[in-house]
Order: sequence, then structure tokens, then C-alpha cells
Amino acid sequence: MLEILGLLIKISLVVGITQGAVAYLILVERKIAAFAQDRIGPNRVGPLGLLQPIVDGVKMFLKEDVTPGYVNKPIFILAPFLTIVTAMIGFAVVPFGPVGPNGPVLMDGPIQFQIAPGIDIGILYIFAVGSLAVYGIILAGYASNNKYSFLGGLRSSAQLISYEIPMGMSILGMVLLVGSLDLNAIVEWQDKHHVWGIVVQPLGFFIFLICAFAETNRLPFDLPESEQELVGGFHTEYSSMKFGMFFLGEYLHVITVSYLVVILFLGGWDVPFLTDSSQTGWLFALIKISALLGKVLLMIVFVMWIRWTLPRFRYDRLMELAWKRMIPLAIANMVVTATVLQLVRG
Amino acid sequence: MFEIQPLQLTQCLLTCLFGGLGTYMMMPHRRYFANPGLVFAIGLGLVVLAASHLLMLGGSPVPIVSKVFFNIFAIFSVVASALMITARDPVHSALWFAVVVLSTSGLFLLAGAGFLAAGTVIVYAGAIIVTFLFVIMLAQSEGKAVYDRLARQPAQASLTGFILIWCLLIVILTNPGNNFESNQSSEPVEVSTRLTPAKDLVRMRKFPVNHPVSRVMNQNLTTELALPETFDATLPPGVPQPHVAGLGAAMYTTHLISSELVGAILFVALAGAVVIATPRVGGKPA
Repeated sequence: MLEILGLLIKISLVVGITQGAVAYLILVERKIAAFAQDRIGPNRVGPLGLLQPIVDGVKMFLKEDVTPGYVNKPIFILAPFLTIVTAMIGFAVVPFGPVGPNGPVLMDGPIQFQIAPGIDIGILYIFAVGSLAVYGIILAGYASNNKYSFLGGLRSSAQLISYEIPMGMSILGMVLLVGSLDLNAIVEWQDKHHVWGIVVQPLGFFIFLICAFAETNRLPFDLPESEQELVGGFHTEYSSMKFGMFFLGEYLHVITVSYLVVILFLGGWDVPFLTDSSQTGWLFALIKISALLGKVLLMIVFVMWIRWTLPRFRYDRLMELAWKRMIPLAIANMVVTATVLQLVRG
Repeated sequence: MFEIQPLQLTQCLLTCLFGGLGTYMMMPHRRYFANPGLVFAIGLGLVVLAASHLLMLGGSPVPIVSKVFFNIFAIFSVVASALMITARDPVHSALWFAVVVLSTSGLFLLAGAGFLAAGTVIVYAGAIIVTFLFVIMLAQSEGKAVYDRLARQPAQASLTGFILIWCLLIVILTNPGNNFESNQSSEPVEVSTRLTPAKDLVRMRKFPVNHPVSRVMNQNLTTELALPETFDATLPPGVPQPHVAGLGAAMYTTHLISSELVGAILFVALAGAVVIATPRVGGKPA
């Protein structure tokens, strides 16, 4: 019973914190946009505009929720919910801090900073959930009964399916090295060998990063939205909180992907002088959590910075990049890694 | 042979009767009933009833949480498959198909086959059904065709389908090796050893000693082959192995030839697809 209670507390903490974080990520995004364009950005509500996200949230809720008469109503309502759900449940296997028998002790066992610790298929689960995210977009586009939305939905389905393949292949190098799909095992391996994934798998990191941008629909790959060509893409017909949910979903994806990049390739909670696993207790756990969180925040800022650096791809170039560049590179990376590993281990 | 209990036989019959009747009522008919909505609702109720009878036929996992989830996933998969074949709109059909796939992978998860569950979701729900949706949406831009909206021969179809399901149920229940109860605690690795390994099939052919097939067999197919580091052979049989490592070990020792064969078939299919899809330069227009 106590276990289930702890689980519920963990789940509500993760849900609450990520949703709150999303609100402030939007502020960060606007501030970075302003900086890139030599503007000041939101600065009217509260000191430095810090209350802006709350006001924005209230605005989202209070706006009139228009459901146009020509839409396919059940699917139209289902689509934003699917977006949120698929973005949220991926967090079940993401470790937010050190997981293992050496965690800080509370009650009668070490705390695991992960909703579901010890999942053997960890990263596969994230890929499985991530592959469902396409439903939210494609259904929104279809149900809107509007040709711009529909084009956005079709583009996105093709884009997401295509980029899933190199994304899945790019992590295989790391999986081969570590010998496990468990995210904790991957961090522990980097901790033990004093080397980050980016050093041993530079090509894998590069491919994963590019695919991560495509999977989150961020610029330079935001073809499903592409406001100059498609009005608002798949969410043209949505208003009020239904639109807000798509927004929320996108930023949740950015958080998940940033965690994945940091855990797979940037050492996770690895801190240079804290490699001894016997160092337990609250202080060390806190340091490790902050290290992980700091890296993730830097990664998120990087994602937002890229938005103002690169222009959007043309659609055919986008597909070419996936099928003719990324997939062969990912296969080559996998084969080379496997060969080298076999030769080294003998 | 006939070890089936009368109660089970009745439940089989009721399952098929309710299921068949319910499916027939849910089908999109050419001639409308007086109240199609009511008929559909009654049909749906009958299918749910059939699904719950089906559940009573087999056992379910013991812990209460697993039991609840097992029942939810099982009923969802059966009812969603009925909704899938009776939906009027092909897009809805595809979506119900996605629900079927998701609940089936939930059942896989409960049975301890996490890798299979994740693979099913990635391949079927994430890629294949999305491709279906893609094709349906592109093909039906100017209204739905009659053959997509209406069932052609609902009565004959439900009758045949449910007679087949009845046969299947009887065969499953009378075959003691496949009893639901005896399958309760089976680990994925045990399931894999119940299939005839390909190496045994090859052994039956009795190749000469120097034949390449027997050389591969003798070198690679011994179970003493180096297992992955995470595979712990010292664990007692009851304790679950690290799942992916156990699956990988089984695939590349016991079932090596089958895996290689599947790989070869997929590669040939890939090459064929490339040949078919590539436009011929300088040739006749297709």
C-alpha cells in the first residue's frame, strides 16, 4: 500500500513540475527570441516579466473554445488529449536523479528518482510512446476538415515516421557499448568508464540530436506548422485550451528529448569528483540531481537557440535528409561500432 | 481427447452466440433498421457480454493489480476489434485497430514480454497504422465509397467468423498443453523453448560432417556459446532473467538459424521493394 502511495506521490510530482516547467519554458523561449532579435521581450507582468506565464495560462483557459461546425467532432476533441497523454507517459522511465541501491534513505528503503525503476526495456518504451505522438497531429489535421490543417497533418506523419528510423538506429551504438537498454545502466556505464557518450559515439550523438529536433517539430523541422505556407498547420482550427494542449505537448517533448540526450550522450548525473558509488545521502543525491537538471536546462536553451539560427527546411530536402543521409550514416555507425567492439573484446 | 467441462462448453457457445449476434447488429447494414443507434448499442452490449464470457473461460493473473489490468486490456482488445470491423468510417476503423494493438501489447507486458510489447507498439501502432491512416486520408479525399461504408453480407460474415472462433476455442480448451491455467507462470524464454528449435529440424536432415550447415551448427549452436554479460545463468529457474538479454540469448543460440532465415527473407523483400519502386531510367514507361 505504501509503495502505491509513494508511486502516486512521484507521479503527481513529475506531472506537476513538468507542467509548471513548461509554462516557464515558454517565457524562456520568448526571452531568447527577444534577445536574438534585439528586443526586450515580455517585461510588464511582475519583475522581469516573471508572472507572464501565469497570465498566459489564465488567458488560455478563459478564451472562448470554438469548435467549428464542419469538423469531425469526436476526433477533433480526441486529438489534443492524445498529444498530452503521449507526451506525459514517456516520463515514467526517465530517471530524474540517481537510481540504485545507494540512494538517500527515507522510511525503509532508498529513494529512486524515477517513477518506474528497473525497467529492462527503458529506452524502447520511450520510443514506443514517442511513436504514438504522431496520432495527435495527424488526427488534428484530419478532423479539422481544412486543407491547410490536413496538409500539415500529412507532412507531420511522413516526417515523424521517417525520422524515427535514424533516431532508433543512432542509439544502437550506445546500447551495444553498454549492453543494456536501461537508461540507468547507460548512465552508470558512463560514470564507471569516466567518459561521456558523446566522446565514444560522436556520430550517434549528432544523428540523435538532428532527429530529436525533427521528432519534436522544432525549427528547422517545424513543417507540420509552417505558418507562412499552412496558416497554422495542424492546429489552425484549435482555440483556447485545446490549442494550449498542443503547445504543452510540444514543450513536454522538448523536455523528454533533452533528458534523453543528456542521459545517453552527456553523462546523465555524472559529476567528475563524485564517481564513488558508496557516496550516498541527501547531499550527494542533490548534487547529482542538480547536475542532471543543469545539463538538461542547457540542452533546452540550445534547442531554443537553434530556432533563431537556422531557417526552415524545404519539404523534399527534409525527407532527403532523413532517408539519404541520416539512415545510411546511422547504419554505418552501428556496423563500425559493432565491428570495433568485437575486435576489442576479442 | 474430450476433457472439456460442460460449463466451459456452455460458455464457449454463449461467447460465440452473443459475439456473433452482437457483431451482426453492429455492422453497417445496407437497409436501415427503424432505430440504428439502439440496434448498435444492443450489439455493443452483446459483444461486451461475449468478451466477459471469454474472460471467464481462462484464468487471469493472481495479484489484484495485474488482474484488474488484465481484465481491462482483455475486454478492450476484444470490444475494440469488434468496433474496428463494424465502424462506418475507415479512419475510425484504423483508430480502433490502434486500440486493439495497444491493449494487446498491454497483455504482452502483463505476461512479462516487455520487448515484444514495445516492438508491437513501435512497429504496428507507430508506423503501420499511421501509414494506413495516411493512405485512407489521401485516397478518400472526395467522400467515402459505398463499399467502404456498408457491409456486403453481414449475416454470412458473422456466422462464418464465429463458427471459426468456436472451433478455435474448442481446440484450445481440449488441448491440455495449451490450457490457460498451465500457461500462467511461463517465462518468455520457456515459451521460446516450447517451439521446435531450428537446429533440431536441421539435425533431423542428417547432413554429412563436412557440410557447411553442420559445421555452422557444431560451432555456433551449442548452448555454451558466450551469453551476454547481463544474462545470469546462476539464477534459479523461477526468478525472471533480465528480459532482453534472455530473449537475445535465446534468439542467437537456440534459434540462430530461424533468426538468420528471417533476416535473409526481410533483406530479399527490401531489395525487391527497391527494385519495384525505382523508376526505370531509359526503359519503357510503366
